[in-house]
Amino acid sequence: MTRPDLGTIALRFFTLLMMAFLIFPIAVTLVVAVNPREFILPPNGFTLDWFKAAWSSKTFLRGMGVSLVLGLVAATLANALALPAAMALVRNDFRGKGAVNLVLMSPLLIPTTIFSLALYIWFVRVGYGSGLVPLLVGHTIHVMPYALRILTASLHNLDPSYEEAARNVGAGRTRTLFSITLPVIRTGLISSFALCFILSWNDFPISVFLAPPGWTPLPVELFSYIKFQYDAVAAALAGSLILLSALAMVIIDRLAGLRRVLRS
Amino acid sequence: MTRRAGDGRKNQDEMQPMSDDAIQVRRVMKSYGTMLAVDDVSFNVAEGEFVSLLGPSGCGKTTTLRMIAGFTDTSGGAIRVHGREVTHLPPEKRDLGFVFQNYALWPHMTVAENVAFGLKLRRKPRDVIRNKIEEALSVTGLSGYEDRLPRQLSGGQQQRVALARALALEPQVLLMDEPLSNLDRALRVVMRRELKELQARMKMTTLYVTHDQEEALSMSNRVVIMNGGRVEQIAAPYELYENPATRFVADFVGITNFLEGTASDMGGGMVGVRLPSGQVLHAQARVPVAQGGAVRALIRPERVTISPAELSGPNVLAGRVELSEYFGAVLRYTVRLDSGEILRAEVHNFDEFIAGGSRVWICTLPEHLRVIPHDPRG
Ligand SMILES: Nc1ncnc2c1ncn2[C@@H]1O[C@H](COP(=O)(O)OP(=O)(O)O)[C@@H](O)[C@H]1O
Ligand SMILES: [Mg+2]
Repeated sequence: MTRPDLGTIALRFFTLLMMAFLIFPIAVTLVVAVNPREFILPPNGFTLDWFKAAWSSKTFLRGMGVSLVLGLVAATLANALALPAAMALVRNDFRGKGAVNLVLMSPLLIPTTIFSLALYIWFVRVGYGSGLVPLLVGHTIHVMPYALRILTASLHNLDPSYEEAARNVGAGRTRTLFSITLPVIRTGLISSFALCFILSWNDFPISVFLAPPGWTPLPVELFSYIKFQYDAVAAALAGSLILLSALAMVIIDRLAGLRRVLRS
Repeated sequence: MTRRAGDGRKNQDEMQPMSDDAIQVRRVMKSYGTMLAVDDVSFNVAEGEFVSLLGPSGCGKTTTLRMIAGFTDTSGGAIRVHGREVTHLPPEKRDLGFVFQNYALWPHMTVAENVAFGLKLRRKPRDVIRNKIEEALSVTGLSGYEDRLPRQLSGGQQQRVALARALALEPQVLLMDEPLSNLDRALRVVMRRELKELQARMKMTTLYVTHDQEEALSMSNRVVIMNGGRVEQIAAPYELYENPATRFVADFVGITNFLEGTASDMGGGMVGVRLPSGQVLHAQARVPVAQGGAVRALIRPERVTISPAELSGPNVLAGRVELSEYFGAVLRYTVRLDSGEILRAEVHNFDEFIAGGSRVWICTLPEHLRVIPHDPRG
């Protein structure tokens, strides 16, 4: 056995440091959420009271409902728009393809706050202001580039002869799309949908600008709560979301092989 | 004058709508930008016939087949299937079976589902579908594999599924693009025989693409030789080998020796080839050649006699063995002729071994010598 050299040791140390750095805030949140002495560390016991409070708050539950609906609708719309765009980009060579791609990916390049403000101003100009439609539009535009990226990669890996074989045995374009193309890129579709949902679920700036009264998503709700009340209920709620996200990741991984998609 | 094809050129300008041919390809072209991948290709496939498109990689075989199947648009020309013009029909309207080089089995469907897909689209009753799946799988030797996914099968089995999927629909015509090229050699030979046997039994009209001359010659009724997007010759395997129309064909279908010279008519169905050395080779005239025109004499390596003792006669060439290679069933000699050219010879029934450096005399019979006009393309 050879002893690891200095470089390897340094790399390991650095990796551990990075992981600690990433996990630390999550750990603190979870510790605070079960600590009976509000915010005073180290904890002197274990309690689920904060969780109970968080989960019995009408405001939070409603915020969660709004975020859930918003995330599902935005992810659906984004994927429905990104899929034909990805097909057009992958399968054709046309003039201005680079430009089209750039425009479609541009929401990634603009800081979300600026983008939200611009969208808000535009909606005010056309006489809408904030509202459910602007909120949905904002979320959809925000998450669509990610869907486009993942679906483009999936379609690149899709052997065109699968579709040709289907056409050859008598399937039209639509039938081929639903019976062959979509099932074969299923993994990419699930990942894309999940990523879009999570991005929408976590979004704060777009919602702050565009959410109408009565349709406040959870992150905004949480933010206003923290502004006025300083207790561990917020930590418990954040902790719940972290655990839910982790659970969702595990389920998606089982369903779609997330690791495989991210690696490819 | 750039090309001459064994047949099929006489009527190239007339469409023959009444023809019984299963496939008619007429003056078909495909350009990619300025590159002509397929350049004015015409041929027919008769009902029940097995025709191969043979040629080196990149010569336009796949493109031609894909245009017939409708996966690629034509840039010109027309394609008919059983007299029906299909040139601009989408692939799903052409009713042609296709076996892909990489099989293209749908990875999310089992073997049975792969075979059933086309049948379900045709809204066949359940029990009919079940019977057809059973039949197609038993014909291809896959019974018992119904519930496997493609990735759980070996290459040879996947190849059979691809074939079963095409056969289950009883297409008018079967198109195959190098279906055996991804198999190892031993399996390829087995599958080649099975495929040919199956095709003959079902009398399935087949257009088969390959770059393997052995495959094409052993399986086909006729072979279309392609080179650089063009047809070089269309003929039965025996004809191709015995009477190649161009140097390319002679070279591609087996190894051939070429000796350049000028033609002189000798009468009596014989033609003479005057070599630069002044020697005149005697050959049976099969294609008309112009008196005094530049020609090439073709000598097949296995159609010569090679001897360490001096031979006499009209077609004797003297030289020295540069290399002799022993392959068990065959001895291969590389001989440097006195005129400077290299000539290869193969001996199958040998009882002596001529060592390198020996002086030898090589003789070929007039009926084994072929003469083709000199082709400026090379
Ligand atoms: N989609 C395409 N775009 C550009 N060139 C192509 C395309 N498909 C084929 N070609 C070119 O056309 C020629 C013929 O290709 P192909 O029909 O695949 O040859 P073969 O099957 O005989 O090996 C090749 O030079 C190939 O590079
Ligand atoms: Mg090919």
